Amino acid sequence: MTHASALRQPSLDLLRAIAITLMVIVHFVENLSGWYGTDGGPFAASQRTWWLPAGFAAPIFTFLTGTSYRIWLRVQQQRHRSDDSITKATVRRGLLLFGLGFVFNVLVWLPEDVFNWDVLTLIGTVMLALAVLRSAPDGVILAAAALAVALTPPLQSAAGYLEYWAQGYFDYEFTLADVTLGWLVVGYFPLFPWLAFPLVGYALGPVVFETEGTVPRRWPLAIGGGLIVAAVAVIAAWQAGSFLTPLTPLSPWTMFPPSLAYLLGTIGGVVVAGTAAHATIDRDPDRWQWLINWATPLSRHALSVYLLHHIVHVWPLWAYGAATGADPTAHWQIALHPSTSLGLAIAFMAAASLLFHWMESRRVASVETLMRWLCDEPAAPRSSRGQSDQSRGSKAVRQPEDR
Amino acid sequence: MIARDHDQPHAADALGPHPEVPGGLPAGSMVRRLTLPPGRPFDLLVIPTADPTADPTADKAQPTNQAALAEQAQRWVRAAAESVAASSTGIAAAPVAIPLYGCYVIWAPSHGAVLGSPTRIEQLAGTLGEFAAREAELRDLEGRGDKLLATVESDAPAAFEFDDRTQAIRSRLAARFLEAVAVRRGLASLGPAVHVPPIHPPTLASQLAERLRDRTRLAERHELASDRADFSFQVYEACGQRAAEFGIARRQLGLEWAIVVILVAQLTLMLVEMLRFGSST
Repeated sequence: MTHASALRQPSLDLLRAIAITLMVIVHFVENLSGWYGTDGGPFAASQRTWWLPAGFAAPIFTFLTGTSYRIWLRVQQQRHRSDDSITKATVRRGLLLFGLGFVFNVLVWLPEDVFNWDVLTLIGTVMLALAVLRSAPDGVILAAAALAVALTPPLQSAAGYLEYWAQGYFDYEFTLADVTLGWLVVGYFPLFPWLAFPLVGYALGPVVFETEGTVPRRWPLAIGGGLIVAAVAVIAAWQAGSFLTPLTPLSPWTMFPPSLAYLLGTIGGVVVAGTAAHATIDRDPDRWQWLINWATPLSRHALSVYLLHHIVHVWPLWAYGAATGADPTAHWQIALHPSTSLGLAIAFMAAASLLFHWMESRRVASVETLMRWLCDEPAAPRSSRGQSDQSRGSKAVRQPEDR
Repeated sequence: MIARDHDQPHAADALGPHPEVPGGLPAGSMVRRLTLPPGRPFDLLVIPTADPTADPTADKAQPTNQAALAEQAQRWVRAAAESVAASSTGIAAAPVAIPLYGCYVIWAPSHGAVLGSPTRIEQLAGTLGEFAAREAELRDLEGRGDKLLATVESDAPAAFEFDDRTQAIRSRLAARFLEAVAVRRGLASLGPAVHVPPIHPPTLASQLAERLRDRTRLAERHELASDRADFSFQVYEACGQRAAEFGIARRQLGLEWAIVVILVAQLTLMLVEMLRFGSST
């Protein structure tokens, strides 16, 4: 396998497509039916064990953000793009996503939730962090990720996380302290601990997906398996009544707040899933071509899918609320029966698959195209035959990860 | 070091079929297969002729006969050398023929012939074998040096600056550095055998060796190969230094980054406590 071709991994596209599908299902069901049947408690929440896979959507997505950035970086280096140029493109992407996150919050979650610190602002911040951290050795990046995970329980405790989430969602005041704490610890996707996922994806992605050299597969399996075992140990410690219990009093496995067991288990799970997907899909892509055909357009347009699905299911909810009463959010989480919401999510994904497949075939511009146009500079002119050969090699891998 | 077939009984199988003695040669003629470095075969045709000094009543037509034998031996060497060159897609070098005191020595890179009286022929065969071994060694080192020289230009940027991109070819650079060292070592050990001062009083063997060295320009080739190897070595030595410096810098960078990460973590803890305290009052 040549080095350039090794960068193109269908398993990455598949995992990202699975993540975005899970995300769509979670958002449809939780936003339209999350508190359906309030007498029995939330229909879909962290304490329902059968709803547990929903908690893997954001971890997979953010983990792959780090891995994709690493691959993108590799392609830029193969194109002999200067460090300055790479940093500029990374910072532009980070700022664009950060700004887009605020615009998205205002337009989708209404102006009062502008600082809810959703996943787009996290990814924007991560891009800015990686623009600096990419010069650090992988060991340091992994140590930083470990520190982000380890510091999360004390930071949540110090920041008073549960007080911000008393209503079941992030409720904050428009003060500098609340806004900053939301960005750091107590928002929907704060830096602590969510920074850990892209950092681990950045440092371990090349090992998991074998994009830079080959290492024995047992390494990522051992790391992922070890983290899962550690998560089980933390759950056991929680049940035995450890110091972690007051932080997540309802369950040892919660996404809001991200508990220690959740962090260790999801990071380990993503590493194991990535290794398994790479071993299965990338070894014999022809066998899985139908799956790859489905996943690739969704993966390449994941940002567009993310934005579109919110518009499709949240805006009608607000419009219906505004039309039937004074509060646009009156029907949030109680609008539909869960099975209807699930059906709508599946219908949306089917339509999105067809739409983005068609857009790919007709080369219709998407949000990703806009981002590339705004953020990326054209590659440096090729000055020698050797460079041009390398560039041809990297051109073949431009499509999947050049986002 | 050269070895005869009978020293290495299995060598002939690996080196191909043993050539047959051409027809029409005097009795006692034979083809000896020698193994030259690095494992190349060298077929030596040995043709003993009558010694005119030992038998004054010998046939007066012998010089004519010896010239014809020499011509036949030369044709055999040329044909064999050309067939070897064709199979290895190389260019056949013209055989070198040296008449010496009634004897005749013919050499090509893969074949040779010695024609002379039985009292001298072993001495000449030994000298030719020794020379063929040295020449083969030099030829091999020249080839390896040429391969290195072909990659020097593309690797030269790493001698100036080492970064993450060049880090990926570090092991390749290291292998080429080791190859440059090996070529230099080989040329250095070959030097005394190539630059041999004339022996006084001269012997038959020393004169043959000297003439073979002159005719094949062994000393000049050795000098040129040494210059080329030195050049490659300098480039790859500089690459090695840059790689070592880069490794040291990376380790220092790792330490600095570790300090930065810990400081950021400490600042975050302080900031969160400060903000929490500020918001609660």
